[in-house]
Amino acid sequence: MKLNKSCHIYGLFHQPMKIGSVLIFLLLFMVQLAQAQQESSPDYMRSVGKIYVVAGVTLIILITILIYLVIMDRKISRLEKRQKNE
Amino acid sequence: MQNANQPAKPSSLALWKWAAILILIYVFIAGWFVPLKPGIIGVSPDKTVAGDQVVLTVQGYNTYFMKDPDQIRAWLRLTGDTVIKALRVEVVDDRHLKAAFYIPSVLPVRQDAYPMTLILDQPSEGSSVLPNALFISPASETDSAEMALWFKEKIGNIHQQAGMRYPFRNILAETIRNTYFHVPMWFAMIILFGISAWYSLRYYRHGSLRDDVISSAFVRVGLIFGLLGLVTGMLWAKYTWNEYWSWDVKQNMSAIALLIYAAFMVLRTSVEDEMQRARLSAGYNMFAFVLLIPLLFIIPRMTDSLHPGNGGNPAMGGEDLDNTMRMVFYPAVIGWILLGIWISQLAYRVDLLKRNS
Amino acid sequence: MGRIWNLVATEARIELRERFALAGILLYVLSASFIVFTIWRQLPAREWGLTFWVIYLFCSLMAVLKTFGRESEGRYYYYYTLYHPLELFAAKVLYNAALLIFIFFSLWVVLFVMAGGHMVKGVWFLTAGLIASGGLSILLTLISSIAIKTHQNASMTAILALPLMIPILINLLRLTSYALGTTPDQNPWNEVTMLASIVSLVTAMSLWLFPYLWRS
Repeated sequence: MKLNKSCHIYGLFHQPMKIGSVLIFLLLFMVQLAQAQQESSPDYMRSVGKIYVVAGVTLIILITILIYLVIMDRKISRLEKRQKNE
Repeated sequence: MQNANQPAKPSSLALWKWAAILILIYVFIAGWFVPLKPGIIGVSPDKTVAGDQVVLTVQGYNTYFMKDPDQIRAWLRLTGDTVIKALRVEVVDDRHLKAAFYIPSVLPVRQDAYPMTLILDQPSEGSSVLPNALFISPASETDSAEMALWFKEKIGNIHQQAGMRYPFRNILAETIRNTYFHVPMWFAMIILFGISAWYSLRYYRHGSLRDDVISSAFVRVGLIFGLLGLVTGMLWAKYTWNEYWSWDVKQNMSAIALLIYAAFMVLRTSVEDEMQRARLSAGYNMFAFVLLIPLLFIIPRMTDSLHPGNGGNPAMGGEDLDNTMRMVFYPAVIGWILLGIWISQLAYRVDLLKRNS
Repeated sequence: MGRIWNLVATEARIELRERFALAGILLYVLSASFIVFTIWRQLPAREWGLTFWVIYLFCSLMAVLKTFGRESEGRYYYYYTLYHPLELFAAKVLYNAALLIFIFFSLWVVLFVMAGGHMVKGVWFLTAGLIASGGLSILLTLISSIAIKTHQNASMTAILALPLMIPILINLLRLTSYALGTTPDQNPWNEVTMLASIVSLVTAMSLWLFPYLWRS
C-alpha cells in the first residue's frame, strides 16, 4: 500500500510536466517568497538605494524569458519525436 | 566561395541578432554598473522653529564628503531666491555631515507650511538636492533685520559632476535603472503588436495561412512582453509609489491593452476551421491595433498620472531623462525590441514546422 | 438607402413580433438598476454617472447579442445573395443604435425616478448618450459579427467587446461628470472631439473590415 503511494508520487515526475503545473509551482514559489519577505525585514527591498528592486525586475524578465524558452524547447522536442515516428 | 556540395552553415546567425546580443550586453552592463550621482537620503531633525539655530545631520547616498571637506557648501531654500546659507559644515565621514543653520525669526512669505529644500555643493562630486528636507514652524515676530537674512545669500557657483553617472532622484534612487528594463518592455510590446497587425494586413491582402501563423506568434510574444512590463512595473511601483497597483491611467490602459490581446488569443482557440480562424483573427487584430492608439497614446496624456511626463507632455522628454541615461535608454529600447522580434521569430518558425509536418 | 431602410424595417418587424423582446430589454434595465439601487441606497451625483454607464454597458451588450443570432442559416444565405454586406451592416447598426438609444432613455428615466436627477447640464449628457449609442452600436455590431462565427457566441461577444469599449467609456464618464456638475471647469468640447475621433476610427475600421469578415 505504502509502496504504491510512493510510486504514484514518483510517477508524477516521470510524466512530462504540463505548463499549468509549471505555472502553479512558480505561483507557489512567489507566494512563499512574498511571505518570507514579510516575515523577515520589510526594509530589505528598500536598502542600498532600493537596488534590490532593480534586481527583482531583471530577474523577473530573465526568468520569464527562460520559462518561455523551456516551453518552446519542449514543443520542438515533441515535433522532433513526431517527425522520427513518421 | 561556397562549395556547392556543402550545405550552408546552419549555425550562422543573422547580423541583427548579433546586434541584439551586443546591445543587450551593453545595456545590462551599463544599466547595472554605472554609478549614481551623489544624493541626500535623510536629514535629522526634520522640523524646527523659526528664529532658532539648527544643526542638521545629513545622510548622503553615494557621496564622498571626505574628498574635499573644507569646500562643501550647504543652503536651505524656501522659494526661488529666499535662501539661507549654512553657518558651517562639518564632515563626519564620507556619508555623513553636519550643517548648522540659523533660521531667521521672520519668514519672507506667508504659506500654510514652510518646507525647505536642502542643497549641497561639493567641487569634486557636484551638487545634490533634497526637497522638503526641513519644515519650519513660524514664530510670531516682525523684524526687518531678520527678514533681510533671507535675501543676503545667493546660490552660486554650483558644480556639475563630470563623467558617466545617472542622476539621483529622491524616491527612485537606484531604481532609476529600471528605465532600461521596465520601459522598453512596453516599446517592444507595441512594436510586436504592430508587426502582428502588419502580418494580419498581409493575410487580408494575400490570404496565405503562413501570415496568419506569424501574426499570432507575434501577438503571443507581445503579450509576454506586456505582461513583463506590467509585473515589473508593479514591483517598481510597490517600492516607489507604495502600492503594487495605484489605479494609475497608464497602468489601467496597459492592462486593458493586454485584455484586448488576451481576448484575441481566446478568439483563436474558439474557432475550429482554419480559414475562418485566420480571417476572424486578422480582422480583429487590425481593429484592436487601431483602437490601441487612443488607448495607449492619447488617453494617458489627457489625465494626471504618477508616471513621468504626464498631464500633456510626452513621457520621455525634459528632466526625466538626461543625456547619460539617453545613451543607455535608446540602445535598451532597440535591444529589447530586437530580442522580442527574435523570440517571435523562433515561435513562428516552430509553429510553421508544426503545420507543415 | 431605401434598401437599408427596408432591412431595418424587416428587422424591427421581426423583433416586435415577439412582444417580449423590447419589454425584455426594459425589464433588464429595470432589474439591473433596482439591484444597484438596493445596494447603494442613495446615489450621489458622481456615483449616479458611474452606475448609469455600467448598467448601460451591460444592457447594450445584452441587446446587441441577438443581432446576428436571430436569423437562421438559410436567411443569412438569402441576405448574402441579395444585399451588399455594407448595406446589411448599416441596417444592423441603425437598428442597434435605435435599441441603444431606447436603452439610454429608459435607463435615464428609471434612474431619474429612483435616484433623482442630479443633472446640471442635461444637453451634454444627451450628447454623450447619442454618441455612445452610435459608436457602441457600430463596435458591438462588428464584434458580434465576429463572435457569431465562434462556438460560444454570448461569452465571446463580451470578451471581445468589453476591453474595446473602454476607451469610449472613459471619455463618456468624463463628459458625464461635466454634465452632472462634478467637474465644472472642464471643457466638454475636448471630450466630444475625443469621442468623435474614436467613434470615427471605429466606424472607418468597421466599414473596411465588415465585408471581409462577413464572407464565409
